[in-house]
Amino acid sequence: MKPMDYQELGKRISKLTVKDTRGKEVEISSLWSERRIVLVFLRHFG
Amino acid sequence: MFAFQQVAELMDIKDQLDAAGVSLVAVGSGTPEQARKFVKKSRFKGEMMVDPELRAYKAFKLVRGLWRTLGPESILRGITAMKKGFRQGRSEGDLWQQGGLFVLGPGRKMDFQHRNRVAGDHADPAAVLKIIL
Repeated sequence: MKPMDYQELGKRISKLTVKDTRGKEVEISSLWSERRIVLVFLRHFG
Repeated sequence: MFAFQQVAELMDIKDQLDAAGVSLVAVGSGTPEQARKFVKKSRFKGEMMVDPELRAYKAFKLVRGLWRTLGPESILRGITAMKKGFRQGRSEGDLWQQGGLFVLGPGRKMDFQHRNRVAGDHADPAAVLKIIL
C-alpha cells in the first residue's frame, strides 16, 4: 500500500462523520483541525 | 484481544503524547454502547469515536478481508477464528476489519500513517514518538 498524501485523504473524508460514545455525529476532520492528534483505528472491540 | 493489546501499547506512550500536546483519539468499528464498555474494560485514556459503517476505515484505506485477517499461515487457526469471529462480528464490531494509526493536524497535515496488514501488526510506538517529539 503506497502512502496517501493529505490532499487525497482530504477528498476521501470530505464531510465524513464518526460518532462519539453518546452517538453524536462529529465531522472527522474536525478532530484534528485545531490540534495535533494520534488517530488510531482499532480492530473490533475484543 | 488485539485491540486490548493495541490500547495497552498506546497507554505506554500516553504521558509522552500529553507532554507533547498531542491528543489521542481512537476509532472503533462497533456501536457507541460497545465503545463505552470497551473504554471501561481496556482502561483506554483518550477520546473514543465509533464508525459502525466502516466509512472512515475505508476512507483511510485500511485493510479489510478474511484472508488479510488470518494470513496464509494456518487454515486450522482460520476455521477456529471464523467460528469465533461470526459471533464477535455481530456483537463487537467487524472482525475482518484491520486497524491503523495516523498522526494528523493541526489542519491539513498527515505526518505518519500505518495500516495494519494483519491482526496484531500495530504501528511501532517508538516510531510514533519519534515523529511527535
